[in-house]
Amino acid sequence: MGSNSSDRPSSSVSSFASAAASGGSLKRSRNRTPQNPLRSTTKRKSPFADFGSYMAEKNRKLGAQFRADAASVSSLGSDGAPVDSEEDKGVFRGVSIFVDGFTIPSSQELRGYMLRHGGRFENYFSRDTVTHIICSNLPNSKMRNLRAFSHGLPVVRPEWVLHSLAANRLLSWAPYQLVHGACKQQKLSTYFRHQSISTSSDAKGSINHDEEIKVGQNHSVVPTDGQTSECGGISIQVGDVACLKSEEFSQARDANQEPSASDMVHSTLTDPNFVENYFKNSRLHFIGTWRNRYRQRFSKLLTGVKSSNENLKCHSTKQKTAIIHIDMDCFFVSVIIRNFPDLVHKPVAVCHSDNPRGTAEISSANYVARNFGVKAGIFVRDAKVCCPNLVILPYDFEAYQEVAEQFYNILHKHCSKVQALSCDEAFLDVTECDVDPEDIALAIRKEIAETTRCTASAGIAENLLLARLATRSAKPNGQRFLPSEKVEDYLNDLPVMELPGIGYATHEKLKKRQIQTCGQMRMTQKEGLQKDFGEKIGDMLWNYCRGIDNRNVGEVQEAKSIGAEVNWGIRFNDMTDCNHFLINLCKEVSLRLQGCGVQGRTVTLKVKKRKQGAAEPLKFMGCGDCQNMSRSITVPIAIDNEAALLRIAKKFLSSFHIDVKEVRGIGLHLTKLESAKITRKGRENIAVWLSSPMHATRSKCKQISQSDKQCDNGDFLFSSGPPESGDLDSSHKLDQDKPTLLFQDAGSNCSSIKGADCVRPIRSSVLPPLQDLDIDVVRNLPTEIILEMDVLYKGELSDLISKSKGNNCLTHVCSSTVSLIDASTNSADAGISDAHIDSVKLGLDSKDKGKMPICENVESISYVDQVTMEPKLFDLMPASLSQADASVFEQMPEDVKADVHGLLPLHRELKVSKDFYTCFDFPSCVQFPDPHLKTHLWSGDPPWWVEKFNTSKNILLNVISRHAKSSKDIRLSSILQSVAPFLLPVCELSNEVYAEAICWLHELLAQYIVLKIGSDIEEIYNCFCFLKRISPSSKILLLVYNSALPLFQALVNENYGGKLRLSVIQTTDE
Amino acid sequence: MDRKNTSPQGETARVLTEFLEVAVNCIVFLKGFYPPAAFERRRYMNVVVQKARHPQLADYIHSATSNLLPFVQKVFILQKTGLVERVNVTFYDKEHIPLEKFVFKIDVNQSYNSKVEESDIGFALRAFLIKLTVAKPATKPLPPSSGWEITAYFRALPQGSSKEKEAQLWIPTDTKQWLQPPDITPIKSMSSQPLKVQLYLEHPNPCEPKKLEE
Repeated sequence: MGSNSSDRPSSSVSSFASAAASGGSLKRSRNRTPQNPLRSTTKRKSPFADFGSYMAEKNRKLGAQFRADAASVSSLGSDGAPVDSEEDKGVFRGVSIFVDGFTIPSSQELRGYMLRHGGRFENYFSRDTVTHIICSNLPNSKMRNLRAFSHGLPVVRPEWVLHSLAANRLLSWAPYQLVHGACKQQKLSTYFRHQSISTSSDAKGSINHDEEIKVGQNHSVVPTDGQTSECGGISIQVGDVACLKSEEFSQARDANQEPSASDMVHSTLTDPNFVENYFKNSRLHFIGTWRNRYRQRFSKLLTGVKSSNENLKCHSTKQKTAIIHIDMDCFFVSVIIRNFPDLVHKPVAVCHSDNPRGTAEISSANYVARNFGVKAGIFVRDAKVCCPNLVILPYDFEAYQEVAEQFYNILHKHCSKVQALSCDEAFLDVTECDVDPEDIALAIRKEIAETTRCTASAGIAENLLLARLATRSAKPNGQRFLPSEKVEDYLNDLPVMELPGIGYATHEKLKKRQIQTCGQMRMTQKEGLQKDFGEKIGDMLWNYCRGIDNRNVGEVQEAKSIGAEVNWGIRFNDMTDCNHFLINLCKEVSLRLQGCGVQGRTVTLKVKKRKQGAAEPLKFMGCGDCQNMSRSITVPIAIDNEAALLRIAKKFLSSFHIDVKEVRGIGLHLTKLESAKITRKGRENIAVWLSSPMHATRSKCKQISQSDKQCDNGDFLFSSGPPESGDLDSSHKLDQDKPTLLFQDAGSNCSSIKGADCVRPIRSSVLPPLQDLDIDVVRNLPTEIILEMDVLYKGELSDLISKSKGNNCLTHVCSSTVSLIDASTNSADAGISDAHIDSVKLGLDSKDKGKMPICENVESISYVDQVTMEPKLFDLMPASLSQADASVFEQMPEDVKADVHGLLPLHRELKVSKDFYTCFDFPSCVQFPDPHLKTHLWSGDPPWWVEKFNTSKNILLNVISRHAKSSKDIRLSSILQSVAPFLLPVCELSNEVYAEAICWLHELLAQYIVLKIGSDIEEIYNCFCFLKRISPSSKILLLVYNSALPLFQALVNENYGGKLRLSVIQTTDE
Repeated sequence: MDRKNTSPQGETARVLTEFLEVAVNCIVFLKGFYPPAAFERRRYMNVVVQKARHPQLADYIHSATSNLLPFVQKVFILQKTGLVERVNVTFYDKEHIPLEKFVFKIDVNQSYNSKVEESDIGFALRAFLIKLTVAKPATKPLPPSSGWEITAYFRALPQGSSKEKEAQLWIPTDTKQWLQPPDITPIKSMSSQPLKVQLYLEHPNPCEPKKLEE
């Protein structure tokens, strides 16, 4: 981590921090040399032999000095506090502190306190002598690796010492733990809990938040509170728990933190769920996906409009049309400040970061701020220069969604012909209303102001263009009617830039022709404009400068392309990072496609590459000066599944031949969209059905919604009023609330909250949980399918849970997260009285793990552990409503619909993440030890798998490997054929061997397919034909055949535009 | 045919087109499109093959395949392969709806520069001919009054096609397309350097909409 941040250029601060960290570790390792008293005495006379002995001697001497000082101080102070020193020799007896870095009070003062109150003060850190680490600031690298830094010792703020002194007893240090950056940086998590912050200052809000967390932590450690002062052993235990927890917290918060110049957390490098977080926090994404939500919400009204449109055509010719353009005034700001009345007359802007030196862009500013020159799109630091007391507030997407809905409800109430332009802007056609358009506008504006507490402006004119222009002059909070007689005068002096559709480029061109206003443009011939700007734009300009606009108030247009693009925060170290990102991006795109119910045939990958010699961009983590590259392919059959997208995206990316470190942005788009309903026909088989996210959603949504509602309730109760810190109940709620947040934010692969069972190592992301299966149905399934399912569900649930809770020795970081969630979900689900016990359990759990060194490398872990502990979770819910399948949603019963609605606010609260290495390994139920090796089974000569299979404990694999070695032909079909006679006897295998063999063979075959698909389908076809032929006598090969076939068919389809006449074998014997 | 063309690419392309001519002959024979008496036994690469005796038929096949030569050689810039992507022998019914396609998917690596032994490629191509002679079970019988044609699919349209007389020899096909992705039956594949050829059969998808009876 440290090296990651240090080799990036922009972070002089963090590279410095990592240097400091390594310095610290050096120090520690020196101290670690065994302190042999004998040796040190012999060395006393002679010069020191090495550094270690010198340090030992120095420490001894310092210790002696300290004791001497302490003795003199206590004798001195004995007249001051004689009872204190005689009774128990001070508050800090048994405490030995080490002060790290700058503190208030200073380390010398702290030393003084320790001297006087029976504690010890260590100048050099040593795990053996120090009991507490005191510091008030830690560099980011240390914070991230707190355990490595602290060796499990409590890291506390100096206030602990002072407060203990004041209380004249040793207080529990737990509430005083160091929480990094607590008082300085704004956390996004605070906004997502939609507290009603009544303070105007953000800083204050974030402090509140931290105190709440502290209360929560305090609570969970309370039982041992009294014991800490008595016995060191227990206090250390608690220390482990708390440290681990706080570490998790800091991770969770980091994931949400807006990066400042010194904090590189929020990039593809460090955030495993970067793509999701990115879109979650993106305003543009909100606006972009808003239309979809709008259509779902108002679909009935919209169809109504369509049908009535036809009838009205004849009317409109006679009557003079009247169009109202209505637009909320600085929507993104006013929605936020309606809760802060004192801010109304102050300059306020909305931005996702309020770092005054930051390069985040202002997304919207209110009129007061605009007067200072603050505009949307400028950097925060520039805005602060224009207007030093600019208040910057964060987004609140939920409020936006709510207000937008209210807004449209009102519009639809007053008028049947509504054309939505954006979440805060719409056209109304009020031609056939009998009322005066100005009165309608007035009524609508009044109602909007009452309902949403935000103001809107309206422009009224005879066509869309003029209405829009009228609104501009009506703002803020006004309305203007532009009668047709006045149009000419109005347009005469209007700068051309004001016209919609005229951007920077067109404006520049017009400028060269001395055209500044619409009046000047009217002098130009239509042909001249068309010659200069092209037929369409020329026509448009000619019309617009005369106030002519022939467009009608129509319905929403169909999307022509769907995709996702990320140009911010993209920094890859190597191909693995990049692939991980692509996986997430493809998932996002796939979800969006499915959300719109379409599939695309043309896939385009856009890549932004840093221009040669371009410096680090001005905007923090931005894309800077880039060279754009793109490539697209049209596949024969429309696709929407992420596996296919991923394959194409990877292929494209590698075809660019660029260094991944230079990549600054990636976008994936699909065009030539077709409705999914048509294309999906006749392609269903059990695998597709099982892996269909819709199915999973359907089967699980109710369950989730119920359990989630509980959490939501807790959340809601809590947010409805300011929490009273003394109230036990509220702290319980906090306790529930907090883990939920944690597991959402830490990117720890869980999405369902249903008791402790919910976290379960499941191979496939889409397998329904065991207890959800209807046993009667399962019993009646064909044996083959039962067998297959058995394999899929292999590690029995109960076993797994007990194993994962018990004596597992997994050292994966992830696993500790999981167990944490495990316990926390427990507490969320259990009644309030139980929550307490569960949190203790959590402590024990994580303590066990805490003893193991945390390492991210999984290779050292034994195979069985992998099987039991693999933290795979399911992908049950789409991350936001915009991504839910609209057709399915429509079919749901009302109550389920309402639940889902409540469950999926406009942006993903539910964090769904899965960490899959390849996309087609669904039937295997074991994990490969090292994901990197998976892609290379066929590399080398002889292929890598031959050796791997040979050393495997599995007889079947051994047999295959032996034959592969003996034959010179490394074609799989010939190997399989030669092996065939020997395969059948070894098919009587135990379940585990069985599963392992299937997994490896599937992988082998899958990679072989990918390898050969371009050049040799005959060979793969032969393999499959062979497997099919032999399948009646070997279940293993049957399962391998069935599991690999979908991939083969998909690839054949992609490469050859057809499919093979092979189908999944469904035997029903026995 | 220019036998003196000795650059590796030229050599490969020549072998390929020659092979295609023989293979198309074999396919037409295999389908029993013409009476067996219209063919005569020949030897090609030491395999017994059938060759059309009728001068018009032989000429059509020969001209079609040999006219591919410049396009096989022509480098498709983007992928460094020949311009020809696929050569189809399509059998269609009287409505011009294809019933069966023999697809040769061709990939000639034009940047491959070392010497190519004709015998090496020949050995691999021979396997195609052998496999073709036994491919009858994979094919489907043809209804009466059907037709057939040779179609070449290019990776891009030939540049300046109006000027080149080779390109003018090729005309757009009337054959209709299938609406559904077809069923594929692989027959033979070879992947050597610099030539990769795959031969497979395409049949209409069973759910391909049937033409109206009336």
